[in-house]
Amino acid sequence: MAGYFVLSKYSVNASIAFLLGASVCFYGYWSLSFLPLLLGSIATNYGLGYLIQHCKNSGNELGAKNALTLGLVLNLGALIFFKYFDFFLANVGPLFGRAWQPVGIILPIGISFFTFTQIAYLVDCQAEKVSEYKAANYGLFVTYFPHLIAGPIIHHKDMMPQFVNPESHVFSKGRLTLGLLIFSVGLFKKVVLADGVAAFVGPVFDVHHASLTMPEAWVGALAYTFQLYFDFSGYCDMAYGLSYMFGVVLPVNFNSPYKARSIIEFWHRWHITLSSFLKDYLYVPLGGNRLGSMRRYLNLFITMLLGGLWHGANWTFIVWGALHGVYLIVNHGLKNFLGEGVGRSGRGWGSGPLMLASGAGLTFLLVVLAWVFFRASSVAVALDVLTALFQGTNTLQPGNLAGHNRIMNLQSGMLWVLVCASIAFLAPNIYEVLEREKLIGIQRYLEKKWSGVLSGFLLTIIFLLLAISETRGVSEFLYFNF
Amino acid sequence: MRFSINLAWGVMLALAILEVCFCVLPVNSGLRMVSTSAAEPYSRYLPRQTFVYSHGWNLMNVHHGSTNNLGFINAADFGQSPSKVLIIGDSFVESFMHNYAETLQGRLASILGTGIETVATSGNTLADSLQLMRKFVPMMSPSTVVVFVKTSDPSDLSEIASAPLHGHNGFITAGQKVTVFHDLYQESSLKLWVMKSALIRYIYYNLKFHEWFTGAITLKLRQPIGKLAPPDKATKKLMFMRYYLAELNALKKTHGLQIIFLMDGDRNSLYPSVKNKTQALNLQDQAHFSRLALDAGFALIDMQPIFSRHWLAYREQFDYLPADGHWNTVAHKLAADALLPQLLKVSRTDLAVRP
Repeated sequence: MAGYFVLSKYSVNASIAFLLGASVCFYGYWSLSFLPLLLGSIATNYGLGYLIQHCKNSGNELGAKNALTLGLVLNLGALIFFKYFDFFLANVGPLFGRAWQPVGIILPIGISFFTFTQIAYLVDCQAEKVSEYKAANYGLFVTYFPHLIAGPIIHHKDMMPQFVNPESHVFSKGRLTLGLLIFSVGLFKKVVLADGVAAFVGPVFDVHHASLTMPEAWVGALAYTFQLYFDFSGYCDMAYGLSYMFGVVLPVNFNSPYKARSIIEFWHRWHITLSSFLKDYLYVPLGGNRLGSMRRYLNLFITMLLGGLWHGANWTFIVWGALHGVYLIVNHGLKNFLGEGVGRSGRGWGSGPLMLASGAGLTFLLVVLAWVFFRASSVAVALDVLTALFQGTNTLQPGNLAGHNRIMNLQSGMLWVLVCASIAFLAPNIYEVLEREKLIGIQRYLEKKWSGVLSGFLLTIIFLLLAISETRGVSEFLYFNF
Repeated sequence: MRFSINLAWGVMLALAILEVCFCVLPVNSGLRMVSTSAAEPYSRYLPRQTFVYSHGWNLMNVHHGSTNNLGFINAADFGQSPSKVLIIGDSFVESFMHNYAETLQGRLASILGTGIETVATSGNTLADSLQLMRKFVPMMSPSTVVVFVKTSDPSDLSEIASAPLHGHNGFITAGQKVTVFHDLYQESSLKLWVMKSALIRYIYYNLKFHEWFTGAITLKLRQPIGKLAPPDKATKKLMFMRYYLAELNALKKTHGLQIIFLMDGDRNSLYPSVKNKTQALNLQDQAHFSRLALDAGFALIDMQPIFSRHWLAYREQFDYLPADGHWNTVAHKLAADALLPQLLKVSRTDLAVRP
């Protein structure tokens, strides 16, 4: 950070190059062996983007279209090869009576995110939404370290003006403090909440899934529901905070999703940048809602199915995506049939407190049930846990010694779930507290008065959280696997 | 400059608030150890000392307790009644996180009555158990001694050739002769002073930051004495085991004792989805030790088949893994149940139990 702001005094281009170099080193630290793949992908996409622009400028629409097609084929080809080739071998082989052994391909870290970011870039080039073509800036846009490994998925048109904005190249104590504040909230979510509640997930999904009591199954499923939320939203807060210190505002990726009162609303609050990507670059090109209701529902289903598959090469993700596809179809169908539950005026048949609470409760329940597939190692394991959720499956002989705490400390698990639920349902998220419109005002206030004290305070808390995280052992973010 | 001063104020404010918070929370209080000497070459705490125990960053397994009149945890006071059984072990037997009634020794005491003595301290090795026996068998005159043998920890059988921790004992060779080496422990006054802070105690005892900071947990810190090639190391281990058993046999004959080894099982191998299964080397050492002990006429209770049977029937864990590998109340109960028939047959010594 010091290098970036010192260089910024002399040259904006030099500081961009410095940040690009630091981001590449950051990726190299995580995965040196896949660094050439990342750099090759950037060079190829930058070249294709340039070609699309050149063709567009010279009126060669066909050339631009061909370049875009080539880009899509190359990007999706790489993604499919690294992410789905082994899955394909394992599932297609039996159809031909063959048992093809998986090759054992290692998934390059962040490939899903940097591939989608660059596909969006190429499509934006084709749509003539891109007006800036500096190579270093493009490299930074893709590799910018706060978002590189696990998102959020960013858009060229949103980021480029910020990278070259002279204001973001001037160090600000207020901005540093605000960034530290948001970062520390994210770190707390990850280190304390996500990793704390995670202790009650493994015993249910990995060890005892075939034989569970109902309370055990519910604690496991709910624990994972909150682990995933606090883990991924914690990562996104940390990315947002880090980036904010550099004067670059990333898109908000989570907006208290478990407060959603319908599945449609849930997808406007959960992993927002992925939802937007799937909508803009898959659902709309498929026809969206322009080709009638049936086609609209089919498009929704296909979009969610592929969205599920994007998370990984496993039938569990496909089932998860399909479930959400069905949820959305039913939700949209009901909305069409009954009309808008809560209109823009805040009134409607669904605006009563009972209806709102029922909507939120039902949405949360459906989301939890779907997460069971998302977490389970196989569909069979997911079905084991789902069955236990409704009727319990503990068929082992009575007389165990630990009572209710047979597989984990159940009371402790319930307490963790309760604490996490209270925060997820009742507390405002950091973006509600620090609204974007107010950020500059708060930043200026801190610049004048409290930045030093608050920064010192936050740095100490961050150090303690990092000490907890490091001494406890490796605990990667869940979305690093996607 | 003003920003830096304010920054320092912010750090101090945070430390003060954290200190207040941790004062209220059940942070591990730690226990003051008695400085060791050539006359008392074994680890123990100050007698009649109260403590708060909690494990890990999330203050798991909170327990309040105190040491007995000899400075051991979960041990009845010595001298209340004639000793029948002496149980020697490490943190597994010491069992900070449990009430006395839930421990192996507590369960035996509830059945056999008074006279169950326990001398166990964290980090104890086989060499420590020898020194403890040399000290406490003449003092307590038990009819039976139970020695806990661990198989999955830095102070287990596989590390029999490693250097001891401060306050503990290890085996060394001088020529062809094996002897016991004690690494003295002297209480640091600085440690005594800084441990008054709840925040520092949290960082030291709960997070074990010092272990992480110095490179890794104890296993990596404890280098074998000298740089031994694998064949030499295996030979040394066997030498040390033979020496240990010979010394125990001498004590057994002198004091008319029954000695029973209570051997921990490879619990990780039972649980699915546990990444770090016990290395084959540990199992090999365990097999060597079992064979040597049985050949030398000692009784030995192997917990592995007992754990295995219980796991198949009930699928309940025997510890707090993955957070903490210490035995839970289930393992303590099973161990007490396994020991009981052997203790009731005090007259029939040298009987190996292989369930």
